Amino acid sequence: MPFAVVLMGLSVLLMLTGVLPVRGGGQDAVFLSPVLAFILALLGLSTFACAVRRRVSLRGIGFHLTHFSVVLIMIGALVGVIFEKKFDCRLQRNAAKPLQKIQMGDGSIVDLGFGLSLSAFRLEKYPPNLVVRCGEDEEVEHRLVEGSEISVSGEMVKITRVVPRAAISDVKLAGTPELVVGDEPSPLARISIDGDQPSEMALPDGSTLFIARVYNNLPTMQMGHQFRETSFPSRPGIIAHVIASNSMAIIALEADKPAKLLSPSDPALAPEFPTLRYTFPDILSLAIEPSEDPAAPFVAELLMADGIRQFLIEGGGRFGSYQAGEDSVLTLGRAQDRRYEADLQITRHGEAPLETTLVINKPLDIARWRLYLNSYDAKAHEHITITLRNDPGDTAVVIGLLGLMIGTALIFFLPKRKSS
Amino acid sequence: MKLHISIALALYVISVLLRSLRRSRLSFIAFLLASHLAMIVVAHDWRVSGQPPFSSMHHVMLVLGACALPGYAIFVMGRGMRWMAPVFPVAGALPLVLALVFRRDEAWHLAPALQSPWFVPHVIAYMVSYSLALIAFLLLVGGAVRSRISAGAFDPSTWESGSYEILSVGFPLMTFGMLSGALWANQIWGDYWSWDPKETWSLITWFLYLCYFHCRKHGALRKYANLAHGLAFAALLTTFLMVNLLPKLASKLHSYV
Repeated sequence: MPFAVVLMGLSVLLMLTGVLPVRGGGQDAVFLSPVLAFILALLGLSTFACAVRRRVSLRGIGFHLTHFSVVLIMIGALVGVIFEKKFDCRLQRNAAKPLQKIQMGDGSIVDLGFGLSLSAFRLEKYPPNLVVRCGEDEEVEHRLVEGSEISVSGEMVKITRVVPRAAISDVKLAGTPELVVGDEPSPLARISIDGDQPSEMALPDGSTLFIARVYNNLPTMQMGHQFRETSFPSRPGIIAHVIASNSMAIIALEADKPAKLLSPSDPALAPEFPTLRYTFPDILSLAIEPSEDPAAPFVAELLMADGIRQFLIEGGGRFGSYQAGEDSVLTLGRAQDRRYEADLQITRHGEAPLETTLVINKPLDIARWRLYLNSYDAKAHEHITITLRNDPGDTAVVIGLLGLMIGTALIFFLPKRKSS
Repeated sequence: MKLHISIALALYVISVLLRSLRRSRLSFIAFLLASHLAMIVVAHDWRVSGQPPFSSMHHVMLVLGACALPGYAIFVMGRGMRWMAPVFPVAGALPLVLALVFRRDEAWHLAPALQSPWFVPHVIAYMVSYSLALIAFLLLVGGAVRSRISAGAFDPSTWESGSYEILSVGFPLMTFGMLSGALWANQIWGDYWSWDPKETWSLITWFLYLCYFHCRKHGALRKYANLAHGLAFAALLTTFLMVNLLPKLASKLHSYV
């Protein structure tokens, strides 16, 4: 026993070197080092020797179960270290060919024995929380529960309506959006953008201003941005062209923001154009109805202390946040994942394809492999990342873990013989 | 709910004061009220969210604060060890202080990886074992301090034996907590052990408590048992608090708590 205690102490010291932070990092290499493996192997042998030395009895069942289980865990772990095959791979949705062979890190090819393809992916999210930002540092999150009230800067805000997927329509504005050409207070022109606006107008220098398109949700032209036009003016804007005799400029005008030159990239090559500004009035009201469309946004309707109704729409630009008072901003937090699962198709030679579903926390056993769902493509839901694992030592480790749990309970909870 | 937690904390403190004034019955009533109030806050959070409230340090401290009552029921009422009754309110109060310090998040959601039947047993086993480990350590330190103050007139062996009895219940729970975590990790990621800082520190803690029990069993090593106990508790504090709070010790896999 003293030898086992010394070995345990040495193991602790080695593990400490692996977890205490050091400059430059890399200290966790100790967990893969032969030194720790050797110490643990000695501990295993010592444990085994201790277990076989003691006579087996019903009263000592806990002792033998714990000690033999430790040995079993170590044997299973050793088998796993030597023989385990494990790799992560990406499965593309509706890929041309199923995944059948994997190239390992050492260059060898592993044949799974079956084909694997992703047919569908489903993601369920929690409703977003209401985030109240007070000043620079303070941020508090509240659940959006219909009928509940929260305090914002000392005033009560009531959550009157929560619609998980909302169809938004019947938007009424407190005026007409305008494209203002030229500087205030005497601009060259004010063009009402009401659907009947002229598509082009002549500028004083002979060039032409051409309104190419009016958006409810102006695309930002950024890499990876998923543009989606909306049924409500979340980020209202215009794309305009200024066409001169030998040059052209393409300009993006987001409501109440400075104009942005999209093309050409060198402003020196663009024709001159007057100041352009797109003004957009306040929203008076809009209609919200529950929708079955999975892409429909989450909407919360709030009743402010002054009686005004405000809407917070998920991903809704202007409707994404609301200034409540001088210091407080209300916004919808990012909706977190609730659950995700993937429909897989398994194909084997000479057999009909098998459809099955892989869920996180519920691995699938196929042939000699165990599949785990790790993550997914957060932007477009076009691929998932799975882990495939074949570990011959896994069963021994699991039995050992269970044996150690039960044995420990037996040691400490079985009534002890009272010594005379 | 912060008011409820503050009241529970105050009741624990009152229980300690009443015990020192030898008003045992009133002390017990205050202790009972405090534990139940802490449990009510936990139950409220569970009901409001619809999910076990174990995902933040605030919630975990609340649960710890409620865990003093089961220990009291087992040892003071069940095994008649009335002399250790004053320790339990202290063990209930300390986590509630931290529960008031940590930010209370009422709008949390359970991540997909935590939605497993292992989640509740894993956390509950660890929380009860940590609560018992705290009580055992308080008895160890209390006995040593009292012996020093009385210039050796007080024999701390009774308190050390009481500490051993408490750990005899706490250690199997700690073992279950650690090993259920390994089985659960095997189910999510296909890795029953990945030498994550949280996992490694919990194994260090477990090994040190194992050393403690082995030292207690063996005559020649018995004099090292208290040292092993102290080191084990220090490792427990590191596992439970430091790994969550210090970025350099941070755990990637256990970043939920």
